[in-house]
Amino acid sequence: MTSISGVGGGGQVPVESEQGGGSMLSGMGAAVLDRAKSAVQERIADLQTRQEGASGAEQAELRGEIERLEGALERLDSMKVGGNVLSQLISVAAEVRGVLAESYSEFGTSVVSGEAYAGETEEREPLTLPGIVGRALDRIPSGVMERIQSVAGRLAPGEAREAEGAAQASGEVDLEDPAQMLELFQNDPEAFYEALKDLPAEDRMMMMNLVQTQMQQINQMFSMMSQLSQAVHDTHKAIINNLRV
Amino acid sequence: METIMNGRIVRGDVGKLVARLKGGEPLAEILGVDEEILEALEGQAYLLYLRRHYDKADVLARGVLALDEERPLAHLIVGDVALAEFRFQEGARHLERTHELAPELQEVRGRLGECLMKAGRPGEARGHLEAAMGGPLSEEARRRCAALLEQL
Repeated sequence: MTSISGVGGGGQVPVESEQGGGSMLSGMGAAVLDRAKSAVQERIADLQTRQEGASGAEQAELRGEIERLEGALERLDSMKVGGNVLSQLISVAAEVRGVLAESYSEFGTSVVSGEAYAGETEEREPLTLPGIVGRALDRIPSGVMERIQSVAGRLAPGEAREAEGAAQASGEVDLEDPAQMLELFQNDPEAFYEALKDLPAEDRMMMMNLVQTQMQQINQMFSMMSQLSQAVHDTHKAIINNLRV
Repeated sequence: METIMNGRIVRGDVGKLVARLKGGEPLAEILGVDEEILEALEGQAYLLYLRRHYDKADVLARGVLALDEERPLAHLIVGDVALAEFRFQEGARHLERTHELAPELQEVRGRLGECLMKAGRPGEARGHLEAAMGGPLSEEARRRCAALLEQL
């Protein structure tokens, strides 16, 4: 397994190839990586705060721990996400959780002792909400699934929509339609910045966040829904084929 | 407004979209994603979470929140996954939002208390853990809350 905690671990970790793979995988890989980095950064920030008020020996100990975590962060930073080797990335993220569990249970935080973190490496139970479970377990009615697919198709980035021969094919985009406007922004950064240049700074920031974060999250979600739906379809098909034998 | 960009004729006004967003209109409404679709997506996210496919559940729940920030179940999923992955500040933000949006979900308070404690907010954590102990909880959850209260 790739060691994540080694300090200065060297070159790039070939987590995923740049070629091939669906956008869902690369999108999800990026999300897993971001979350792991964010957890390590939060831990480093806490240890740095504690280091300021610590005595000589404790300060040295905390410094060592910070360096160990910075090493983990460095390795995460060097990872490339783009293809379809998601499982490797997930296992590295799990390893990072192990490093953090060790760190928390050994050093605690500025307000809580390490004992509070005992058992952190065990997989957590999901929170079951009796009133909601039943509703969530209901299958999505086929009509709703079709509408989800239709919205997904409408909001998908240009590449995925090419076959539809949508309005862009004629070179025109109607910005009265927010979906088309957002799609243009996603696929044509130059047009995006051009359209934003006259906006006040605050509005520009909001639009940047909308396009760079929210629309990406929405597209990742629809992409995953489509893959899940395909998996269910394939399972049903396999069951029917088995029955025929 | 009419602008020519990269050979494309673009009609419309970005300002209109900005005004709608600033007016607090959820992106779901702007993009024509209705309540039935949101509920189905949120339900699928919760189902994946219950089956411990946490990464996939997180992707779906974040998508739902990008469309509509006021979905308590999606906040719960993102918050609880963050808690499990040691992102306590982010977890606390989402679990607090779950509690604000759906205070009737007493079970959430145990997780919120735990997350607040680990995020370095013991005073608030105690309040939530004690409240959780007073409500309906599974034996396992009750034991966990009691153990956490002992640490405070």
